[in-house]
Amino acid sequence: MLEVKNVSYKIGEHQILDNISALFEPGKLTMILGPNGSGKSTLLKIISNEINNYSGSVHYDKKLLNKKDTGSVSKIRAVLSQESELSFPLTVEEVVMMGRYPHFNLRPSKKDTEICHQALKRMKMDSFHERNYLTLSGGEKQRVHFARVMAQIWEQPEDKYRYLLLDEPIASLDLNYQHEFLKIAKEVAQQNTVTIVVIHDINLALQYADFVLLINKGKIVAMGNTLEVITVENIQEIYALRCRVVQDKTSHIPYFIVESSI
Amino acid sequence: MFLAIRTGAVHITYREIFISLAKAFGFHPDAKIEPIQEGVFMQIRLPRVLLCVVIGAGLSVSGALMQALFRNPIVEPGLIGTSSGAAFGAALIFVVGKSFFAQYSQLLGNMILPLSACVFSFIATMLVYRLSSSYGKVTVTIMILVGVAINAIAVSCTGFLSYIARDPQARSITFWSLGTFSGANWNSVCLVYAVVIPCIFLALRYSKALNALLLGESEASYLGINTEKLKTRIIILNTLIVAVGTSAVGVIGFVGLIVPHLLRMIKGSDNRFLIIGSALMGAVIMNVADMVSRIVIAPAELPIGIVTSFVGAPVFIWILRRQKGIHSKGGYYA
Repeated sequence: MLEVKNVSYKIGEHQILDNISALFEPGKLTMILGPNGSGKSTLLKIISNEINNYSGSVHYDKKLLNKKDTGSVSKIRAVLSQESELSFPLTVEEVVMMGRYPHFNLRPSKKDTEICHQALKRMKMDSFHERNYLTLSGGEKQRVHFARVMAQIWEQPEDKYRYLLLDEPIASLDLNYQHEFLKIAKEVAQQNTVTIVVIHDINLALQYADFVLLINKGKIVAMGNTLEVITVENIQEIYALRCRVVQDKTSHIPYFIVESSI
Repeated sequence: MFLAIRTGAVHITYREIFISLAKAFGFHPDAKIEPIQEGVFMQIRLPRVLLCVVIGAGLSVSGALMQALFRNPIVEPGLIGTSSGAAFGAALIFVVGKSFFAQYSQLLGNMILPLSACVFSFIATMLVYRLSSSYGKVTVTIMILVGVAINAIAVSCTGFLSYIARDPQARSITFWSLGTFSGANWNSVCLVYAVVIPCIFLALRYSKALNALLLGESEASYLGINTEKLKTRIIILNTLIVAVGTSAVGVIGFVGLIVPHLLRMIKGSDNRFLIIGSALMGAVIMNVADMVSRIVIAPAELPIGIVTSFVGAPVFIWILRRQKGIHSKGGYYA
């Protein structure tokens, strides 16, 4: 499990995060929602150790995250950013193999190659092995990177949880793959993985999330089970939007309809 | 390589090469050989070709390293100040005079030239890197502009030095800032081999981490790579290679750019392949360029820097144009 304790972060005089504490459990798909500039991505960056001059602490498996350490967690924790700046001609397989880098020293083993293939298969990218990464579309690139982070934490370690952090992973995907992505994320979460997704779409969150963290202006507005957190009152308050909810008759999942801004 | 040994103002046959080598290794073949051929081969041609091999390899590898570090395939030691910094460091020594240091110790006198080249090329490279990156992201446009600026400063300082220098010093600065292998001797061969070869092997060890760095600094750190450490080490490695090479033969441009690029076109950007390939291909290309520089206006010779830049710059422009076509939405150079 992953615990964030009293985390605050400032840039200059600007308070980005203000005393955030939260507990993320394995087995649940956790989503972080909030308006632009609310601190969602910053929180994810602190958890993933990209930002390390914050106050407070982050604990993986109850062990304090060493702010300077990058090596040891990389075998059990993978992070997918909003976009990657890779601009060299590499094959898709070479990119996915990078996910296995923490696991081998100089040459990939047979197992590493096998895992790469399986990860690509899971993303329905089997036929892309030899393709030049630069010739792919934005959505295809994102799927390759998802396969890469999946390959990174493919195996379940014996006595530890796995951690998967996704920062707005579905922005460049079509409708089909948005759902495909979140389904896979949910599956992974259920296999004893702490999975945190930063996302904007309230309705997708209602459909997939088990646990939601609602952030606004660097503070936690609400935290808990999806239906308790994503309520008309909360959404109206943080987004300044008037909205109403309709209930889907078959799945009973609520659906938000935005009416106007307040 | 053999062809390179044979060609030149004094022609040497394969047979003569063989005999000279045999003699050098302690055999005493009965075959006769003209002393001039043997002398030219052992004292001039062989060290020159050996130096060519290692410097071609070194410059190409350092080109590949820099391209991975800056995450951009148009970076080259000459573009980001490494070479011109080294040139300035060396020119400084030319003018201040080796003898000034040699009076303190013999060793210092011999080492001061590469040392000074190292220091200044390191400063120049670091300056370009620091000035062109903000929040860990290197902006390419700024990097190239900063590179131009730093190069200009280094070149103008070198120019100033050659202006105040006495005539023979000035001439050696000029000749040297264009690059030439004509000064090759066994001393420089030993020094350059001792530094560059270990550096290339070290570079190979970092190839996996460099691959990860292509994804971006934060992605590399998610893969467990200490990016700050890696960057400093790569810059140090690169500076060592380029500065020692430059101190021996002067500034040779574009090799470090073109060799890795050609390899990328053949077989992708995996740095493990790229570094080995660059070493081999760089050695060959440098030899060819050196041969050309010897043949074109024989019996005199051109500085090799002229040859590589004359051929290299158009290729560079061609690469830019071509990439612009393929990735019109930014791609490589956005």
